[in-house]
Amino acid sequence: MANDTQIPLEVLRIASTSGSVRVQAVAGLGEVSGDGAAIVVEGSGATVAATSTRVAMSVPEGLDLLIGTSSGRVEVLGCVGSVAVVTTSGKVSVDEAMAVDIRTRSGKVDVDAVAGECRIIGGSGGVTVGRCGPAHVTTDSGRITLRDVNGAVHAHCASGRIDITMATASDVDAETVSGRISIAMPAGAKVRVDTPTSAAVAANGEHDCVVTTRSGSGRVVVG
Amino acid sequence: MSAVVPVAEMAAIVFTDLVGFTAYTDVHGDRAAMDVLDRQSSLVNDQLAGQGRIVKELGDGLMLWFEDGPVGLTVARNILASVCAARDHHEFPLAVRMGMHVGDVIERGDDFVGQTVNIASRVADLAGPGELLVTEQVLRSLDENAQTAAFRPVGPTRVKGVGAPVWLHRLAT
Repeated sequence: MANDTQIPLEVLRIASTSGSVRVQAVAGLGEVSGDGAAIVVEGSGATVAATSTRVAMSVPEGLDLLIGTSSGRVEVLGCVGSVAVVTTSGKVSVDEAMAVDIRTRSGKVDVDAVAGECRIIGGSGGVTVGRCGPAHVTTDSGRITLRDVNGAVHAHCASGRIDITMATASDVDAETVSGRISIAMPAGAKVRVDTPTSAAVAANGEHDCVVTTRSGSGRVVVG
Repeated sequence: MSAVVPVAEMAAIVFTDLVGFTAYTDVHGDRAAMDVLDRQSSLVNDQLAGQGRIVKELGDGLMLWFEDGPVGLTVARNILASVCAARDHHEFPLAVRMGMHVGDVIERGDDFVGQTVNIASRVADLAGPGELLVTEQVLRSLDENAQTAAFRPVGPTRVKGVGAPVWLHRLAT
């Protein structure tokens, strides 16, 4: 649908009651188009309100997305701006975004690459993130895996395992009540470790970053 | 004899929840858990200072009432900051998450009921550790741009029995 006012679109809001949502970012595309529901454009924002149907949208690259659905898979393909997703269940996957804020009670979350902040509030499903900036990730019981972090990390899991691989020497605060915590720092990083059960070699005195870990009963490894 | 019709009045409702309280109790025991709840009540009461009240305790969470959005938001932010500071200084072991909504509520004894309460509870469920989530209606109740500028959009959620999506915002910290 064309934006009649010629104001560049900055954000697409999708509010679905249930059903899957698929958004494909396309290079060079100037407008939002799609199936499943009517698109209402107002100023720099477009809104899609859908009920119990599958929503599939094509959007310009770099567009910010606000997506909500009760259930059903949420899939964001291509390179987009900031992505915020609220869902109850169903897998959430994001290819490449400037920032993400994903909230789900039970769905699995997979994010490939985030240039900026990665904020994920999960439940029982696992969370896997590839390259990202500062990360705030929480789950109830789902495993947290952060593979390539460039920035400070706050990871909290009630009973699952936490695995973090840092690309740069930044502060890490990882907490799980009963799971294992494993943190890999870049070679040569001087790390101060603040944990009573660490099996790591901690550098005293000068340090590049501080790793704080709290695990009620699980093993903690920092290396 | 005519029945008394309950009057709905505008109010702000805030729910708090301690993240990982059940697991903490499993590891540290009931006495330590009770100490956490007492400490939480103390931190919250220090910030309320007559500007609202604890409606009830819900396990490890609290339901709070305020007469309007601006007052509720100010106190909610102070509670969040207070708990976060206590945690940073190792004086409190768990993170708190909070949700807030404004709208009509009906007083029922010492309690309040209505969709406003249901929505506020749902909003708190979606918050992460150390987060305060509020609805679009809370931001609309504010008249200070400085306060609304501190929030980031999170997206829409659905609440059972509510037709329209509830749009959420996160206090950026």
